[in-house]
Amino acid sequence: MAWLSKLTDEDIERALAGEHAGDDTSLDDLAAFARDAKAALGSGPGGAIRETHLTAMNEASADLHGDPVATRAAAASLSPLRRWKLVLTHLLASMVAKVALAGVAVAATTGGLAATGSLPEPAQAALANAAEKVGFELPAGDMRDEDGPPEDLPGGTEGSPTQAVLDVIRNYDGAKGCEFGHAVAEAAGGNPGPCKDEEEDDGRREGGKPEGTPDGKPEGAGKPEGTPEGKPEGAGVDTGGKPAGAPGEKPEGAGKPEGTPGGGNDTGTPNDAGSGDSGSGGGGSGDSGAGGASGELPDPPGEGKPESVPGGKP
Amino acid sequence: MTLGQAFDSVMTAARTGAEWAWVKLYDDLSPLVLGYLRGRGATDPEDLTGEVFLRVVRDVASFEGGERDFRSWVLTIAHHRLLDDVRYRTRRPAEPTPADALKELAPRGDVESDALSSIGAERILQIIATLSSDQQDVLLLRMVADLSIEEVARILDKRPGAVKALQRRGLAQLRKKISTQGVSL
Repeated sequence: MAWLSKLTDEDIERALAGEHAGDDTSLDDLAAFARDAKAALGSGPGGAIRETHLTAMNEASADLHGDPVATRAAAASLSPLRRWKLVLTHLLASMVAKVALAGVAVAATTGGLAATGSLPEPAQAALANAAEKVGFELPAGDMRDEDGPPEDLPGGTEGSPTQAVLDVIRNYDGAKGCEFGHAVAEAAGGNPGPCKDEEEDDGRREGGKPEGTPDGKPEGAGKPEGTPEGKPEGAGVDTGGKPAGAPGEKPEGAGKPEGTPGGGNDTGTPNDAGSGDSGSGGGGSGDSGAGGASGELPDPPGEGKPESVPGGKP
Repeated sequence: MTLGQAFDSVMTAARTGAEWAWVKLYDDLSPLVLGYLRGRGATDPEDLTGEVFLRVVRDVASFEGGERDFRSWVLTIAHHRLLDDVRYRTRRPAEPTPADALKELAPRGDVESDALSSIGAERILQIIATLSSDQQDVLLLRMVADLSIEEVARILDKRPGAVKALQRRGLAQLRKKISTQGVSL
């Protein structure tokens, strides 16, 4: 590169312009190369390519001046590959916008439902939990009282089966499903069959001395589980009984239900197996609502002397 | 070819969307843009040239200056578009050319002169390709686009001294290649 350091800027400029560099022949090759390069690379697009470019430029210019179709037309005048790139770019941008819009809509809907507590319980609980962590308070989704009846039950005509059924439902205290069903059915005037447990009890009774009852009393026969002894089935038996293992606790509405013929049969054995409520006496006969209603209902079959619990004694 | 004193009126007309003005600007500058892109080894220099002029149309409202400034501005767009294309090709190499496109590229007219011209251009491109990217930029913008050191420095975002050094090293490399290979067109 020593020869280059001897050259002036003017010499180099002339060589780059393709002009002969005076007496110094060392730049002749470079000047010739520059000329050839200008000739080889200095021609513009011709023919169809030029027309295509000019069309695209004019349409783009028209677009800038208010023609909305020009952008698409300009893109169409490009090569297929570039056109596809433009189309995909627009499509992608549009899809992103749509997805974002859908996300906002879903968030707004979910938020609104969550605020009103209308979501399905698991979702509501999860959202309420998450919202609580960030300082918002939402209904937790467990507003439904699973242990009690709804408070907004419709009313019924006084003394009608409807009213009786509603009373049973209102006074539901968590009894077993079968027993509750029986109470409802009886309040409605139906004749429910025995519960499965009772059927088993009957079977044991028919088969002889049940196991674990040395005095010959079939287990649970004289007194259904959780009920005061001697109480015939169908007089608020299941709904009013005290739960096993809670002796001495007076059930709500305890007392002799009106119209229950078994109310006087308190001679049942307090020590009856499985009763667990020996201290409660016969007063805790059960649900007052159901029992009270039962007196106004048509006599259910077996009332007073149910088939399965005859006279309070086996 | 320059527009000279007509440049201002052409630019004013182009800004208002006059078709004839864009034709003049395109015919004046497209050889420089295409020559630069071709010399730099762009994959599809004609298509890139079209994109450069589309950008010029869209951004012309932001341009201020004279004719030489406009030339530098257009070649700056071409340089940036070339860099974008190089990055794109680096990420996604090799796009097979459709058969129809190859047919369009087939020589037409005077086959002998076209062939000689093509061979000469090919050898020039081969020699230029031996230079570094910066040297290619400097020498192509200096030789093909007739830009000054300062204008090239602005386009490449370098200092004029750096451009001058790149030019000297590029010329030395060119002379070496020419003396060993020879360029006879």
